[in-house]
Amino acid sequence: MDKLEGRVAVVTGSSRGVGRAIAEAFVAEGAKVVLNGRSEEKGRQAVAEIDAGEAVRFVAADVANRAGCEQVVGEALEHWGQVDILVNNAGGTVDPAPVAEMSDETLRVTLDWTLWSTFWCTQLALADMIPRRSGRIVNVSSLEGKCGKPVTSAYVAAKHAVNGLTKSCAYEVGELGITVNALCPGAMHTDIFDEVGVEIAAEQGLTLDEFLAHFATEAATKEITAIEDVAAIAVLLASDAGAGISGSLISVDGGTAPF
Amino acid sequence: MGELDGTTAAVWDDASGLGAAIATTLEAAGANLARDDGEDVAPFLAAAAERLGGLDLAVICLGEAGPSQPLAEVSDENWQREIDDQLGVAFRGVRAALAQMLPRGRGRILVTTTVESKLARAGATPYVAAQHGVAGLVKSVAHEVGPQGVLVNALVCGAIAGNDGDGDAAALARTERGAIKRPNTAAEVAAAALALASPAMSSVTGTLFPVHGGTVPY
Repeated sequence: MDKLEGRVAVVTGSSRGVGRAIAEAFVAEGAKVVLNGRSEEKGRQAVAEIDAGEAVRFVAADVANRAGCEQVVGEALEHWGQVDILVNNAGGTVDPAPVAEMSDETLRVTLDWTLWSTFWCTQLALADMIPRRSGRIVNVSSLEGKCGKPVTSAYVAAKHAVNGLTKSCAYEVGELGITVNALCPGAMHTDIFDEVGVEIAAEQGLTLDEFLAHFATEAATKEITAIEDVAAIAVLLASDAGAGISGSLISVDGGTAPF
Repeated sequence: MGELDGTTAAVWDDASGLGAAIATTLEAAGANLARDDGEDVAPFLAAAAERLGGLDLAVICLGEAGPSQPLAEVSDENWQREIDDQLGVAFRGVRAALAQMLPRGRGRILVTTTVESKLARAGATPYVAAQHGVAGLVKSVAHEVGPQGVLVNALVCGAIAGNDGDGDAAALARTERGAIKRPNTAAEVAAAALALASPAMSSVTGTLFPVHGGTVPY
């Protein structure tokens, strides 16, 4: 297991959930990884549980502002001298509501957390990748980056924008040996889904279990998305063998998205 | 220890050149492998399953496009041949694989397609129609057999370095409009095939998985 031997990776939003699974898969393939989250305590716990010694560092920072992104990407540059792989995983939404009732704050927070964080971290990482003519950027988007869903317009808009950024940026840096792709997972049963998913479900008059079952029904597999599968495709994209895949929006959703 | 230790796999290739690279990669990962020797896809998969003691993975590498010709001049025979060489082979291959996999309640099927499964190419309308048909087949059958533990995906391949021929000239020209500005390699396709072939992978199905360097915009 050495597909990422010697590589330095930054994974935002990686104390828990899919970011954490990606970070763990990268470590298992030989990468050094900067973990990130807003909570120092959850970060310490993640580092202890991953138990990979010097191969993992944690930065408590909020990537919904540029200074936070500078801290996270800066940690990799300062301690390991480079960023080979950036995974923009942080993102989410608050106070889901139909557009007719949605607050400005919901859209603003969602865009900062999801789109601006991706933009800032990408720009910071590219400053290191472009001169070295090498790099991998993986944006963890969503099924909602391809499809609409009621009550989640802010999130859907932010993820569609991430997908647009992915496609355009890929053309800009493709000749420099840098790939940019988005992963579009279906619903995954993560901690954040337990937190925000409950609210979205409630807005639709559903329990969390009913909401998850709805996602499962839409999938060809009749299952929600396995977090480990998203991590496995992230490894492929980050590896040498992934050099030929760029500008793509890759569904990992049990066959839910129609395109 | 390989990712595919204990996995039985059959690779059928209609002279696309991808089968060899995929077979090498799967074998290096520990798969117990059968390769075709020019047989038709369905009898080959049935025989491979018998020889290997069951079939966990079937890889069907479709062949290249026939000669370019404007649709206005395409004969019924040429139309039928192109549809059969692409969509017909995919159908018979997938059906034969399912015959082995559905009774066992598990399996992985991969079909290699080209960017013409999603894009136009003037002068190759029968091929493009057939490739689009393959994409539709993969998406639909994935929904039929997903609950029964069988995953079906297509690898959407860009121009492959080292391949020659009429179709590849057009595909090569298209790489200039992609992100990486070069053809793909058979090894890149094989790496993607390996990722999707893993028995641990359970959430990727009905997908037109991109290995085309950004030459397809959707």
